[in-house]
Amino acid sequence: MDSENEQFIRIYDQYIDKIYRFVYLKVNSQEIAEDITSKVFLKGWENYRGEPKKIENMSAFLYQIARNSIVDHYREKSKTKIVSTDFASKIADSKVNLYEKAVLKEGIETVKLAIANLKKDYQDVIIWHYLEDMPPLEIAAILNKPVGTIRVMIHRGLNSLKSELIDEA
Amino acid sequence: MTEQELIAKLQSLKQVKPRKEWVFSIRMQILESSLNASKIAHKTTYKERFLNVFQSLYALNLQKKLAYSFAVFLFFAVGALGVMTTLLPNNDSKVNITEQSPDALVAIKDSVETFKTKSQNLIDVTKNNPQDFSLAIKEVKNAAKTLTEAIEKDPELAKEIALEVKNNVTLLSVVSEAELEEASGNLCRTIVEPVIKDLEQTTLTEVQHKELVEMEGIYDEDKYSDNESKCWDVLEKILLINSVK
Repeated sequence: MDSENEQFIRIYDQYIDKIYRFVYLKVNSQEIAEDITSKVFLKGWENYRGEPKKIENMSAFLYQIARNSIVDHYREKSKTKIVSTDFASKIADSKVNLYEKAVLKEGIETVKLAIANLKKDYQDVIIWHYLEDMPPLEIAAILNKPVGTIRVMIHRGLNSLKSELIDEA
Repeated sequence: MTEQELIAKLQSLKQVKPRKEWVFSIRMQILESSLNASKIAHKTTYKERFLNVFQSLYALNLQKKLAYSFAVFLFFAVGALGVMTTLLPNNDSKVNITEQSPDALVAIKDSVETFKTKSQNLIDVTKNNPQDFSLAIKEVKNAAKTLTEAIEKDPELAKEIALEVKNNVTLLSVVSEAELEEASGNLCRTIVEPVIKDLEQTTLTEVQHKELVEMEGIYDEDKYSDNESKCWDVLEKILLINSVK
């Protein structure tokens, strides 16, 4: 039987690209994305070690740590200003916007920026569903919401994204 | 824009991927942290075993006095052994071995640091001062050579610095230069051989042993070829076997 260590390394190999992409699209910086993603896996490993059976849904577990770490990152960044985490991405993106708009050349950059302008919950469902091919049921497990609500969020998120892209154009 | 076009654009973001060397370094961090944890667990086991010995003594209904007498006896026995070791003639060689090892390790670590500094300098030069490129290459080559010579003197220390050197070479892979590849290949072979020997002498699971034999095969095939990239791959795999054993 494999050791916990080998099992977690396999989990790491399976999820590293996905978690990194999720974090990167939300913070828009390679350096910060690497920093947060490494924390996600080291924290994940600390929790996994000793009690691997306690974690029923590995995907939900890792994405949840990633979401919390992103919120922590923006919280630290804003320091003295207390804001709702729903607006966290907007605060960071106002800075990103100036730079990103100046260098926008490729379609990929346009979509990246449009996603960054979405509401935090829409960002999550759009990335998970369309980028990571996650079914609504799995997303529902991560966000602890009914599947119907997730389907509505995906639909609305996609419409918002369309509007963002039309505005950008 | 249709919904299909929008989804296709979203899918294009799958191109976003982390850097390979960063992925590898985090992987190694996880392995190292687990290794440290197992060492701590190991210490606890020894502690428990030690306590078990005393518990067994109690179980045998021996008087406390006996335990104290035994402790006093041990104290004197260890003391006498210490005095004899110091006073006995012709034991200089033993003292030299224990004194030399830390020095040799420090010397090798210094060589590794120099190799890392010169490598970082080369990466900086590649980005900012391309005119100094050949000088920087020469410096890295010399540092690799010095490190190779240092390991040849104390091959048993190779495993101590293998991971650090491997990580540095991964960073260095952005620079492609034939002259550097030769020095890098020599360095890799000098590290791989003692690490393999060390691993051969340890107890491995069936799977780990199979992996080791496979890596030895790849290494033997690759040994006399000009391409050193497989050598570093072999070292990486061997370090992974070593970390989880």
